[in-house]
Amino acid sequence: MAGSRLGRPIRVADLGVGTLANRLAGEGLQIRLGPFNIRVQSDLGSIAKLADSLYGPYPLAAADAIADFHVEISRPKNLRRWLRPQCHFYLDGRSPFAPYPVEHAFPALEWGINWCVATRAHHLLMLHAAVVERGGLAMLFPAWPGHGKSTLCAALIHSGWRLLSDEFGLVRPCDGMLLPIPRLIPLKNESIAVIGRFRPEAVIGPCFFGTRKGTVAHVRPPTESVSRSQEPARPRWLIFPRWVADAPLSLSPISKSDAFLMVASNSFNYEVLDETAFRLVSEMVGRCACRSLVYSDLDEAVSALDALARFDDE
Amino acid sequence: MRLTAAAGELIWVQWDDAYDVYQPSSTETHVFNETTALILDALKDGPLSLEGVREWIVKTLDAEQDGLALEDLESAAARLDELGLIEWPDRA
Repeated sequence: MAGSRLGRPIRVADLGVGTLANRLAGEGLQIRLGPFNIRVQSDLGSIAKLADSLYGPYPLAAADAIADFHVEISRPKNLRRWLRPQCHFYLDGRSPFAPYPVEHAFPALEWGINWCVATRAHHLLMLHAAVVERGGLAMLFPAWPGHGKSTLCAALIHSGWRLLSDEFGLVRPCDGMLLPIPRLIPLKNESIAVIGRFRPEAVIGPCFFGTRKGTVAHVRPPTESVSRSQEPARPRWLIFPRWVADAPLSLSPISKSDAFLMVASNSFNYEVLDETAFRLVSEMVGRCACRSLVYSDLDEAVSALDALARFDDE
Repeated sequence: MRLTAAAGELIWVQWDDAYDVYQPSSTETHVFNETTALILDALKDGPLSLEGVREWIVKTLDAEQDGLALEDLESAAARLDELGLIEWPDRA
């Protein structure tokens, strides 16, 4: 077991930056992220500092637990250590991507971990969706990039909803329940300031400028979301969001057949799971109220979704 | 035209306005409208011509003959043929 401190699991922040840096540079830091154990190694001091602040509330996995993914973000062993320094993301010692500028090491690590989940976790149906929960019931936001999913999700989790995930709707095949994987939320470009204004108390990491996705900053989920990361939730609402500048709020019903298509096409592994995926998506769509959401104002959108959940009568 | 064995394996989910259908033989998911679903239904009792399928549907729905265009039916049947769900040897 990982042991406990004051009756709770040991968290990353309990280690302190020095121990954290040593562990990352040595045997690795094994973190529990929802249903996965991830062992992270890095020889970069910046990773230890960011892990201390942004991963502070995350529990360490048991010392003898098997890691689902062994990842590393480190400098190359050649001259590129010194000349326009780069870093590589490694999975099981192999580097699947082109190198990143060393100053983008943290977002590269985050993308790399997401890539590990998306390409390996085929024991679960993985929807490309943000998921939040209240009262045991989950609201899913399947969406393509650029539709405002992460921004809306960041707003909701600072407005009384629990984060299950900003990126993965992990559906357990045996019962259709959604498993939490409350990772950091990567905000891009204008969304960073939008969330900063919406909830000044939100913990947002530093901005990384000029990445492959523009400027990126990571929102740390509220501690409660992290500490309840073993509590699944039942799907209840499917919301298909789209942010449109200056658009009036619109939250309107959509047909279940359209919802089915959008959920299935926003899945990472629908084809891999074939009939199981069909069954899971059918059941989810059948039990969920399905809405299309167009919004430009976060306060309005959050209020409308609160009301939908409060007066749920379908 | 007549049903193939693959058509007998289909898994159907009916919504208000359409059907989502899983085809195990190809591992594909399709969205069928009412007309497409009715063609498969019409062929359950045995082979029929396109005209025969139309007559079956009109009779079943108690609809007007003019309300179901043969071209729409032909296009839906052609798609079912491509998917391997019907055999249609005399297809034009």
